[in-house]
This record gives sequence, C-alpha cells and structure tokens, in this order.
Amino acid sequence: MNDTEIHSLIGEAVAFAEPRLKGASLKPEDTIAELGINSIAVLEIVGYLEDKLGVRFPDDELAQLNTIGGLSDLIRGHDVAAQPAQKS
Amino acid sequence: MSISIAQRERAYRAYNEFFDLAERKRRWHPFNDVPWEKMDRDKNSEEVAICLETFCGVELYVPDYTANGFNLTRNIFGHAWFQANWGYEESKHGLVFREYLIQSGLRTLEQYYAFEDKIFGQVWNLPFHTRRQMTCYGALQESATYLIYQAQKEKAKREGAELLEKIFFFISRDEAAHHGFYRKVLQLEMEDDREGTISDLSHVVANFQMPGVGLIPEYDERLKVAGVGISSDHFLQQGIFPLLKVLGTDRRELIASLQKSRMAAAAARAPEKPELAPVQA
Repeated sequence: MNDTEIHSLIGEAVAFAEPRLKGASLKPEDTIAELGINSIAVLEIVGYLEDKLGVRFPDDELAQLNTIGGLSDLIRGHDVAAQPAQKS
Repeated sequence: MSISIAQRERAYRAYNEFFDLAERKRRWHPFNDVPWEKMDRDKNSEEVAICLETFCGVELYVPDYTANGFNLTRNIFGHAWFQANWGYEESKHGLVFREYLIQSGLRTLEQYYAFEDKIFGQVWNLPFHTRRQMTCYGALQESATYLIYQAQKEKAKREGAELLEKIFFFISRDEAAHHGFYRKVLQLEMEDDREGTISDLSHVVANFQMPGVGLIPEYDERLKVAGVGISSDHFLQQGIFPLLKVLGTDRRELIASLQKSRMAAAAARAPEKPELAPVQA
C-alpha cells in the first residue's frame, strides 16, 4: 500500500467517524485534538481501518495516535500491503 | 428502571466494601494531615494557581453533583449512601484547594470570592439521565480526574513541592477509590444486562465531557495550561481501555454497540413509507 492509498484510506476513515470532516484536507501533522476528534471517534477510525485492512491493531499501539501521521505509521507498521481488504 | 432485592443487596455490599476501606485506611483531615507548614511560595506560579483554581471550581459544584445524584439514587441504599460519602470526600477536595489558593497568596480573598460567585452563578445538571448511564459517567470521570491529580502529584514530587505532593496524594487516592466503586457497580450491571450496559457505556463515552465544560470561567483557556486537563490518547489508554478490560469487553464491542444504537435511532427518525392508495379502476 503506497502513501497515497494510505492517505486516502485515512480520509475515508476520518469521514466515517466524523462526517463533518468529509473532504477535509488532512495533513500528517494535523493533531487529533486540533481536528476535534474525540476518544470514541478515534476508536471508530481505528475500527474502520481494521475492517478495511483485515488487521487488528494492539490497543497499546493506539497511544501513538496523536496525529494523522500517527495513523499512517500505524498502518505502515503492520505491513498491510499483504493484507486483503475485507470490505468494500 | 426497577431494581430487584438481589441487585439492591449487591449494591449495598459494594458500598459497604467501599465504606469499610475508607473508614479504616483512607480518612484524612484537611488541616491536621496536610503539612501546611511546608508551604513554599517560591515553588508557586500563576500556572499552579490556574490549575488549583480550576480544580477548585470543579469541586465547588458539589452541591449540584450531590443533589442530582441523590435524586437519581435515593431509593437504593448502596447508591444513595455512596453519594453521601462521595459528596463528603469531594467537599474536602474543594476546601483544600481553596485553602491553598488563599494561604499561598496565589489568590486574594476578593479574587477567590469573585471566582466563587461565577461558579455558584451557574448550575451543573446531569449530563445523562439514568442511574446506569451516570454510573458509566462516574467511572470515566473519576478515572480522568484521578489521572489528572496523579500527574499533578508526580509533578509536585519532581519539583520538590512537598505540600502539593501530599495534597494530591490524598485527593488522587480518593478519586481512585471513587472510580473503583463505580467500576464495581458496572461489573454488577454487566452481569445483569451486558448488552444494555455496553450500550449505555458507548453512549456515555461518545458524549463524554468533563464536568467543568461550559461551567468554569475561561475553561478553554485554562486547558492550555499543562496539567489542567487530560489528552484524549492518555484518557483512552489509561482510562477507557482499562475500564473495558475489567468489564470483560473491548473497543470493538463498544463501537459495534454505538453503531447499532445510531442505526436504531436513525431508523426511528426516518419517516414511515406512506401506504400506497389502491389503484382506481
């Protein structure tokens, strides 16, 4: 999965959890707090990514999710290129 | 929501456990046990003042917290008596913060009373309206408060502020005990109605706000001072995940429940399809 695909998927996940952010231009340095994404929305974003990628992220790795870039790192860290998408 | 004798008895036992431990090991005197003689004004700053004033402001809503709490729980001994003890303990927290602000000179009496007037000029109302949802709220809120005070205790220790370290030791220990009671009650609720309890918990997590939001003057500005609040990732890791674990659930079940509730709410809001009129021949 390349950076563009990861970025696009994160955009989808964010819009799923926070519809007001649909179409927002998300930058790696944008913080979760600045975007007004609360704790439950973070869990929804992660759940969406897990379903799409067919992986399960350990809870303790979610502590790094302070930024949009952190979400990208989470995906890259799990070598999801080899994982089939579970849902369309 | 009706409650059976068995449920009332279990709530009573949970309260007795909480109360027994509090009486034996956790009682402290705000004037005798707090080493006020160790007040070190050189270690104070406006940042410390803002932290303590904000904490004090939140604790000053004790009359509203307890009034609302009693109304919700008054017919259940274990819960109502917990409210009484909880209110007593929280009242000491407000008192100690007030004393520190004045004794340290961080605030004059006039400044303090002006702040108190702003606090008492507003009323805290229940953020959720069933006892079980408020138990979920209590478990989360006490956990967040504990984490905030615990961080303050560690900060005071690093800075050699012995008085503040002791104050936050007593207060954070109380908050941990309060969290423990709510957690125990939620475990009992899970035994009775797992699906309903998780549904309530997901609703509360999704709509959670700390009690000072909208009530404490300049709250957003205060949150910019380190230590006043708690970051969402810290709360997730140290507050929400441990609670889910002890309840025997996880984030996936929580989110699934939330999404189910949202779909049900959306379906309830959707207009019914009008029945087609019979075709006229």
